[in-house]
Amino acid sequence: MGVEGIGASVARKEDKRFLTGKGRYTDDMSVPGMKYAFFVRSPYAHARIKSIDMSAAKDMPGVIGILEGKQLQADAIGNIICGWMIHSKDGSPMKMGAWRPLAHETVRYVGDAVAIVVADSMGEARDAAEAVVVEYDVLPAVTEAVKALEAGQPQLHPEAPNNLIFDWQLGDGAAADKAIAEAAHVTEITLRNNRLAPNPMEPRATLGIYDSAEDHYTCYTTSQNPHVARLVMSAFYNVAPENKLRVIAPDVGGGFGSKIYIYPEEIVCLWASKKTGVPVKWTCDRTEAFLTDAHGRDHVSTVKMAFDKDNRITGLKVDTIANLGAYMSLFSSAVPTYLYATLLSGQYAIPAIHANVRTVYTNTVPVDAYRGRAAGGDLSSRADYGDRGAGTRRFAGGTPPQELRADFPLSDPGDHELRRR
Amino acid sequence: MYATNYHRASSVQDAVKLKSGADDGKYLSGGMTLIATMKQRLAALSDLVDLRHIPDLTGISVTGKSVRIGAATTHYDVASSAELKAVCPAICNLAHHIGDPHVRHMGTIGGSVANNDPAADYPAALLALDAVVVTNAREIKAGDFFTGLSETALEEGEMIVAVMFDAPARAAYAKFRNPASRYAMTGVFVVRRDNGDVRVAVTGAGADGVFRHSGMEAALAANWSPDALAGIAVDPSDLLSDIHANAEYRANLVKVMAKRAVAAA
Repeated sequence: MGVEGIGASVARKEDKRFLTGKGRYTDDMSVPGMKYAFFVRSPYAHARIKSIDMSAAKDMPGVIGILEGKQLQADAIGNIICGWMIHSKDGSPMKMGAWRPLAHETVRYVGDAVAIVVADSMGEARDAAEAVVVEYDVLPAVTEAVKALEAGQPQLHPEAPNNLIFDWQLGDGAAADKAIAEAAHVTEITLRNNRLAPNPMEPRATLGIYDSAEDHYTCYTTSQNPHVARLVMSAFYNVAPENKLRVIAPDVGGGFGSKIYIYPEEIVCLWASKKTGVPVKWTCDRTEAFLTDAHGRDHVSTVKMAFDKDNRITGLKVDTIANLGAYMSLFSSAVPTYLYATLLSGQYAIPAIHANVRTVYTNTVPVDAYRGRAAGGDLSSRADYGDRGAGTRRFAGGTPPQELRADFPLSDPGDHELRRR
Repeated sequence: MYATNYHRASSVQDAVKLKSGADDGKYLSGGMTLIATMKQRLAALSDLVDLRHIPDLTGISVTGKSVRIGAATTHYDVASSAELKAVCPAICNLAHHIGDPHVRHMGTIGGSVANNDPAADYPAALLALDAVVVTNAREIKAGDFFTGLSETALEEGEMIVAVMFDAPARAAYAKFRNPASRYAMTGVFVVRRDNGDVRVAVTGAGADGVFRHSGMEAALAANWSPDALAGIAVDPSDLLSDIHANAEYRANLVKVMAKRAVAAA
């Protein structure tokens, strides 16, 4: 039917180039004089860097330059920050440890970048990277968030004792406790929302170009938000003032959140371009993507749901421990707090809800939003404990899941069933 | 991948000569293991000798019950051979479930057998079928060919040119696939001959590579039925434990796959 305006079917503009293999991604970008970068990365989850010996690597064929964290520090390039302040219950600000784009003294996860090699070709950059000799003093590591909070565990950042970043809450604890105390039945379970790797088809890539004539930087990068990238790189990382930095995101082959954040590689490639005097392109390989792209989720939650005698949900109490990895990524603090706890009631009207969230440092890849937030956890959590609530009641001669009730804010509660999504 | 020198061999003789002249060369067939290994920089070879363009090495011939498969024959060709299916559908089925379509259109029986990956499927088939591995120098019975975990009887420079076996009365292969890689976490190939001889060969499970289970063979020779395996114990102490499964789990898989194979044969 010939619908026009709202409701009309409109062809997308970008499909032709994508379907005919003519998409232009960051790795497809090429500029005169461009060289290639490869990062030297820590093979250890936790270690002190004792020394970095580049002498053999520097003389290898095709090598333009090799740069390390000490030099980055000396040039006053800023640390990577988490941009969303969250306060703990006691009012104290989140304990943010330093994340240097190239590790300076300590590496805190397998994949933590230690040096950048710039060479005439990818192969030569990789070969030279293998010849960079880093001496590490290996330290004990901890990867589970629950464990990292315990006494006697390896401490990742001096700013965060017991690896606790913040202890935050949302909701009405007193009301939730009351609902649980007065409930006809309470179901309690522990849920694990496992860590995942976003794994977009296009790996991350950056082409950093410093124009010494104009004292101006251009950054082609696989970013979901180039304006944010420019703002953050100029305001916080001290790469260049905003009017001297142009960030271009060409076609981007999937991100799912993982390409929102500003990563060490983007900053380092821009800086390396100025230091070496050549445009520097870096493209991640798949292994590196698993090692360094922000991971998602990694929550452990203890959940209590209170029911009245008619199987209506009267209260919900959630205690979550969220693993943020070795460093706080750009939005990492918001993900297990405002992008999670606020969604715990879903489409149901649950009268009393309380959430407590503790975030923790561990020697793992930094964790941030995946598909927007930490949503997966809350929805399946509710369905899960709803059904288990029913299951337990059935066990005690109670009600099958279809007859569990919760009030819907906008419609007649009698028509609806609590269903697993 | 580290830099390497590529050579295209025109004959078996040419291939042997090219390899012997290399510092650290390897034969390349489908490359489904070798190229992947090289891309991860886990191997640095001075030379690659490509066997895929040697006409003698490809092809399946079936004469009565005698089967000969050229070493450079792809898994796809084995899986889709009508001639082979008519006499030994079990091996077609095995080939059809190796890896994924990309792997099947490139990977070859010779490459798989020469590599003897602990979780590869063909070694179980060859051992159960009492196959002969034909090289450029000699013929080696399967029982003598697979000498240990990832080890074979091939000498330096020796290459496989074909695999031969007599198609049995009954045969089947059942494997428990790793959900990601489709490799056999355990794969069992069972064979029953007209004269009642039975062979049960297991891949993906043994700590020392592919092996035959004599207890199962005896039970099935007496009573060819999945139920015959009910009382058979599989000893976990000689089985692999890794991130995919521990030895006890594999011991159970061996029994389950054997039963399924017998039921399907």
